[in-house]
Amino acid sequence: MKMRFQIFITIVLLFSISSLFAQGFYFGRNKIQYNNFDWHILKTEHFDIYYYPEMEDVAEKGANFAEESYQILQTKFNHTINRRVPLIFYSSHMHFQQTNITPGFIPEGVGGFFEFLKGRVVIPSNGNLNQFKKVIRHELVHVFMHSKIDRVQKNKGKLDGAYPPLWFTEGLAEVWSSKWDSQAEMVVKDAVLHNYMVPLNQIYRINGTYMMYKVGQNILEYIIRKYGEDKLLLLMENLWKHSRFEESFKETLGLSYLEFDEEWIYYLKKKYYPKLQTNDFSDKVAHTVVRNGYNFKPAYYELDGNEHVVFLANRTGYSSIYSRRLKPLKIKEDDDSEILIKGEESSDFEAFHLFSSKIDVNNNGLLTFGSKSGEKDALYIYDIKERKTLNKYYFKNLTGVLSPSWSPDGKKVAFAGLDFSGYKDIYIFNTENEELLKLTNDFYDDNDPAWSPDGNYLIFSSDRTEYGIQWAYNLFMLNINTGDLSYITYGNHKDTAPVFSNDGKSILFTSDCDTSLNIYLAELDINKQTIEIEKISNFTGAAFDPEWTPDGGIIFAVFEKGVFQIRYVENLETLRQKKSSEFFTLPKIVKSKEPWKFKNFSHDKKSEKFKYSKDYDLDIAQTQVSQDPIFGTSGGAQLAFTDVLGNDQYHVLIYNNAQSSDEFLKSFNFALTKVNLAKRTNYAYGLFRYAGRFFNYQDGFFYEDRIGGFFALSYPLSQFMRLEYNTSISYSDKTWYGINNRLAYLASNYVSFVKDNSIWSSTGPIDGQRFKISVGNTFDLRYSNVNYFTLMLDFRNYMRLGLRSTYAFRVLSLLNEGKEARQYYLGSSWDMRGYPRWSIRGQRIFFTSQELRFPFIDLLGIRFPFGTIGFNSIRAALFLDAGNAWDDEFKNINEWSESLIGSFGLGFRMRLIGFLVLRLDFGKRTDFNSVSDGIFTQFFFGWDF
Amino acid sequence: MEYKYFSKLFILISIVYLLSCNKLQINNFHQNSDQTTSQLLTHNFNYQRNTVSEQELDPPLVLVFEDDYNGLATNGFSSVDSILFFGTGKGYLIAFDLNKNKVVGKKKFGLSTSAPPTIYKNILYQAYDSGDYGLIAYDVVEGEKLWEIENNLTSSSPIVVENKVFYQSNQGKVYCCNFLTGETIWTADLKCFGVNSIAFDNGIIISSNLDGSIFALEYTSGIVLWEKSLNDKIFANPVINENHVYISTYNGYLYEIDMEEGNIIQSKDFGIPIYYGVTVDIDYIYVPISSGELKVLDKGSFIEVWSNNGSGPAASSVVVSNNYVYFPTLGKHLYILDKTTGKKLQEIELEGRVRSIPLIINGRLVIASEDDNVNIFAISK
Repeated sequence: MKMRFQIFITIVLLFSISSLFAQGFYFGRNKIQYNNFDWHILKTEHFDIYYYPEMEDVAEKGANFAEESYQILQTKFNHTINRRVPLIFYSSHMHFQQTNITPGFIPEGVGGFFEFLKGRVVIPSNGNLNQFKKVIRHELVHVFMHSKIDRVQKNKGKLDGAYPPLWFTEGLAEVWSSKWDSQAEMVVKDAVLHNYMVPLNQIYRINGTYMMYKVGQNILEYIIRKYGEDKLLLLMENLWKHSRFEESFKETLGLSYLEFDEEWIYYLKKKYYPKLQTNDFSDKVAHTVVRNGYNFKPAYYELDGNEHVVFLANRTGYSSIYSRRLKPLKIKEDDDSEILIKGEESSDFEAFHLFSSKIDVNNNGLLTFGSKSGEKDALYIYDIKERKTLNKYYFKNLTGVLSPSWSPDGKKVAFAGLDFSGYKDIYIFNTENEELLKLTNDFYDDNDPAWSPDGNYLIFSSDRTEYGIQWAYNLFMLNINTGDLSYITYGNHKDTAPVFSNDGKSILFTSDCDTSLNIYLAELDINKQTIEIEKISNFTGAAFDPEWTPDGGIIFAVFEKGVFQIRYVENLETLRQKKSSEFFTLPKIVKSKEPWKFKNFSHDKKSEKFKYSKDYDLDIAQTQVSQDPIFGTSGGAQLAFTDVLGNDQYHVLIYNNAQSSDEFLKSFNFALTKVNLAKRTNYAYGLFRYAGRFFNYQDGFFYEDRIGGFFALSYPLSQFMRLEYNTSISYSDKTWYGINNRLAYLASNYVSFVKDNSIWSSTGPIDGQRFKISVGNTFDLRYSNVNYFTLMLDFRNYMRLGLRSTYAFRVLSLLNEGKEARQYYLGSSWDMRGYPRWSIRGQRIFFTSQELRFPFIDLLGIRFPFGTIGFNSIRAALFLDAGNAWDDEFKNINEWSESLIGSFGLGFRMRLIGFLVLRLDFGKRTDFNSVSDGIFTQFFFGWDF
Repeated sequence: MEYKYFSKLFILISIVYLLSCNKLQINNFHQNSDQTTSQLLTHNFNYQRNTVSEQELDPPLVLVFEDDYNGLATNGFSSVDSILFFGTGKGYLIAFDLNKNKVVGKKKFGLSTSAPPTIYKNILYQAYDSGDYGLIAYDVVEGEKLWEIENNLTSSSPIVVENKVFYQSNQGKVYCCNFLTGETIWTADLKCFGVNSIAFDNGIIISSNLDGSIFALEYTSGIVLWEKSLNDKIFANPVINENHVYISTYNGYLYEIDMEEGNIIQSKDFGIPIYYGVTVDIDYIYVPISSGELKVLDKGSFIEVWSNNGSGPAASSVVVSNNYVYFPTLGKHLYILDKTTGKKLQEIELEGRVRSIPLIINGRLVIASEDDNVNIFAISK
C-alpha cells in the first residue's frame, strides 16, 4: 500500500508540478516564455480572440477570417457551435511555440491546433495572411466536426459511439479549408508512381504524417467528385448507428474500405501513370548529389579549388547544415556528406526552418543562414573553411530571419524578416556598418530575395500580385537605388525561389503554374511588357529551389520516392528536353494602388475589446477507488483548473485511506498546488497533508502524518538546460508499530541542474544526452531527529551508430547520508534487470547500464480470416547492467568491487497505441566472478532509459 | 449493513422505474373515423408535408413548460385533442397531455427514431431508423403492439389513408401495408436511398431521394407514374400544393414540378444547401436556407418578396399561419415574423438548438430542442 499510495500521490503531485518542467518532471526539454505578452481579447459574434497589441492588425483580419469561416461551415455541417470559441493568435511560429495551452513541444511543421478539452484553437500568423486564413478555417472544421459528432451521438443517447479516424478528420479539415495544390499533388503523385501509396484499409500505417493529411484529402476529394459532397456530411450523421467508422462508411457509400480502395487506387493510377509517357524520374535525367533523408535548399560554393554544395537536412532526427563535394558525381552512399553545423542540440542552432529558409555562400566561403537561437531568429555568418561562426546578429523588432542572400560584393545580406506584428518584408543588412534597411513595408508576404549580378536589383517572391488574394505568388524586381518595383512573372499560381543567372540575363525559379512544382526560366528584360517563361524541368516528381553553378550547371531539390533529394545537371540543355514556353503580359505597378487587401474586422458588428483578465475553468476531474487485500479500500479525487491561456494552474487532490469511520479525519489527505508558467521562471507552491499506513523495507510497517507546504522554481537556461529549486517545510509524526514514535519539523531544500537534448525513436532516446544532478538536505528544525543530505547524479549518453541504432550508456549515483536517511532501491526491468523489484536497497547506489539498441523487426503482420493485425518497429537491445546498493561507509575499491553485481542479455521493445512500450528481457545474472545458471525472463512496460 | 441498505434501495428504484416508465395506454382517447387525406386529423401537418397551420398564436409568447424526455424528440409532433405524441432519439414513444402538462404514457420500442409518428383510428404508427424493426403499429387505447415490420429501417413518417399504411425504407423501397395487420399489399423498389418522408395527395405518392431522383407512384398499385432525376442531392421532404410538387436540394435549388406529368415548371438557384422542405401558402413560398436566411418568394413568379436573417441555419421547415411565420434555427432561436413584411415580432432563445417543426395546437406552441427538451409556449398574459 505504501508503494502504491506513494506512487499514486507522487504521480498526481508530479502531474501538477510536471507542468512546471515542460515534458516530464525528471528530464525533458524546456518550453521557455521569452515574451511577456500583454494579452487582450476581441469578442466577436462567435469568438473570443486572444491577441497582443503588437499584432492587433493581424488579429482583426483573423477575426474576419474566423467569422467568415463560421458562416460557411455552419451550412456545410448544418450545425452551429453552441458556445463561444476561444481563438488564441500569435504573430509568429516562435511565439506560438511558447504557448502553455498544450504542455508538449510544438514542432515547426505544426501550423495550429484545436485542443478539444476546453475547445481552444491556437494559431500562429507567420507573415502569410492566406495561410493564416486557411489554418483558421482548418481548425474550425475540427471544432465543428467535434461538436457535430458529439451532438449526433447525444441526440441518440450514445455515450461511446464511433469517432472518425485521423485520416478523415484531417482530410476533412484540408478539403474544407483549401484547394488541392502543388504540394498535395507532389506527395500523392510520387506515392502512386513509386508504388508506395497506402490504401485506405491500411492507412493506419501513416497515421499522423503529412502524407496521411494529403491522402485523406485526396480520398475525400474523390468521394466529393464521384459521390457528392453531401456524403461527407452523411458520414458524420450516420456515425451514431455504428461502433466503427468503417461501418458508417459502408452504409453511406455502399462500399467497404477494400471495395473503395479498388476504385480509388485505380482512379489514381489512371490519372498518374500516363505521366510516365511524357515525364521522367529525375534520377534518370540528373545526377544525384544527396539521396537519403530530408534535404533542402542547396547552395553552391568553392573551397580550395573544389566544388561543394551546402544544404539543410534532417537525416538523423536533428536538423543540421551539411556539405559535400559536388564532384565526383558518383555516389554509392551518402557517407561523404559531412555535418557543418549540428542543429537542435544547443541553444545557438535550435531550428533552421528547413522548408522555408534558404542559405547562401559568398565568394569568400562565408555561409549565411537564419536560425532560431533563444527567443527569436538570428542571422549567422559562418566561415566554412575555419568551421566557426564569425558573427551572429539579432534584430530588435524582428522575430524571423529567413532566406538570407549575399550581395555580389559579399558585404550585404538581403533577407525576409518577420516582425513582431506578424508581417514579413525584405531587408538589407550591411555587415560592415551593421545597418539594417527595410525595403518593403506592408502586409504582403515577401520571400526569397536574390541579388542581380550587378548588385542594383533584388528579385523576390511576393503575394502582392493582383492574384495574391487567391494565394498566388509572383516574382518582382526591385531597383534598390530608385525603389521602383515591377512584375517579372504574373499569373494565378505560385512562383518562388528566384535566382539570377551568372550573366544577369535570366532567372531560374520554381513555379506550380502547371499544377506541379517545376523549374522555370524567365528571360529578363524589365523594359519589356511581355515576358517569355520556359518550363525547364519535366519530372514526374516535384523539382524546386534551383541554384546556378559558375559553369552554367544547376543544382536543385526534388521530392522523389518519399524523400527530399538534391540533384545536379551540368547545363540547362540536360533538363530542357522539349522547349515549352508561354508568354505573359506583365501589368504595370501603380504605386498608390494596393493590388488587394483583406478587410479588417468591422466593429459595426457585435464586438468588444478589452484587456485580458484571468478566467479559470475546470480542466480535469477524476476519481479513483482502489481495493488492496492488505490495506483495504481507498479513494480519492483530483481536480485541475487553468486559465484560458494555460499559464496559471490550480490542482486539488483529495484522498482518503481510512478503514473505519473513526479513522476518517486521521486518514484524510489533500494537496493544493498553484503552478505558474506565464514567465520565463516557472514556479509552484502549495500545501499538503499525507497521512496513512505505509510500508517500506527499511522501516517495515509504520504510520506517518505529514502536513506542510512546498515551493518549487524552474529556470530554463535554454531549451536544453534548466535549474530547479525545491523547498518544503512539514510537520511529521511517524510511528513504527509497537516500537517508537518520532516527531519532526522537516525542512528540505534541493537544487538540480538538468540537461536534455536527446531525440527519440519509437521506444526511447536514440541520440543526444541527458543528465541530472541534484543536491539537497533534509533536516529536523526542532528536535534534530532527522538530518541527511542527498546527492543524485544521473547521466545518460546516446551515441548514434546508424540511423536506427545507438549505443546507450547510463551512470546513476545516489547517496543519502545522515540521520534517518532513506534508502534507494534497484532491481526491475527499469534498472538492474534480472533482479526482483526493489530487492537491492541501500542509502547509496552506484549503477551503470549499457545497451546496444537496434531495429529487430520493422513490420510483423498476422492475417486472420477476420482481419489482419500488425506490429510496427519491434526493437532489440543487448544490455549489460552493473552496480550495487549499500548502507555502510564507503569501502575500498577491492571490497566494493567484490560486491558488484549485474546482469546481461537481450531485450525486445515494442510500442503500442502511441505511448505504451512493452519490454521483454532475457538474460543471466552475474557477480562478475561467475554467471548464474538458467536464464531469467522479465516482462514489463516502460521506455528505454 | 451498508450493503443491505443499498441493495434494498436498488431493488426499490428498479421496481419504480419499470412500473412507471414503460406504459403507453390512453383510455379516453378521442376516436374519429372521419378522415380525408388533406385533413389534419391524424397527423399535425397534412400528408402534403406543407407546414401551413390553421391555428396561430399572437406574439409575444412566453415559456410555460419545458422538460427533457429520454433523447431528442422527433422533428415533428402528432396530436389528437390535447394529447401530443412523439418519439425520441432513444427509442421512446411518448404521450403528453397538453392540458395537464404531463406525460401520460411512455413506452420504449426500438433503438431510435427521428420521424414523427402518425395516428389513425387509435393506432399509432412509428418509424425507426435503428434497431430490429423499421415500423411498429401500436393500439393506443388497448395499450398493445399490433404488429411490427422487421428490418426496413426508415426515416419516413408513415402515411395512413383508406386503411392502408405507406412508408419508404431508407433503402428506397416504398411499402403499402394493411393498417391493422401489417400485411404487405404492394412494394415498389425504387433502388435509391432516402432520409426523408414521402408526401401524398390526390392518390399520388411522391418520393424524393438522396441521389436526386423523384418518383410519383399511384397509391393503390405502387405503379410508377413518372420518374425524374435532378442530378442533385435531396435531404428535404417533398412538399405538395395545388398539384405542384416543390423540391429543395443540397446544391441550393428549388424546383416546382407538375405532379401529374413530372415536368419542371420553374426553378431557382439559391446557391446554398437547403436541408428542409419549403412551405407554400396561397401566395408565397417560404424557403429556409442553411445560411440562416428565410427567403420568401412570390408563388407564381419565384421572385423574392422579402427575406430575413436568423441566427444559424434553419432548423426545419417554417410554419406559416394567417398572419405569422414561425421560423426556428439551429442558433437556438425561434423567430416569429410578420407574414407580410418579414419583420421580426419576437425572438425567442432556447437552451438548445431547435430540432423540430413548431406545432401550434390548443393555444400552445410546442417545439423540441437539443438537450432532449420539449418546450411549450403560450401567449403572454
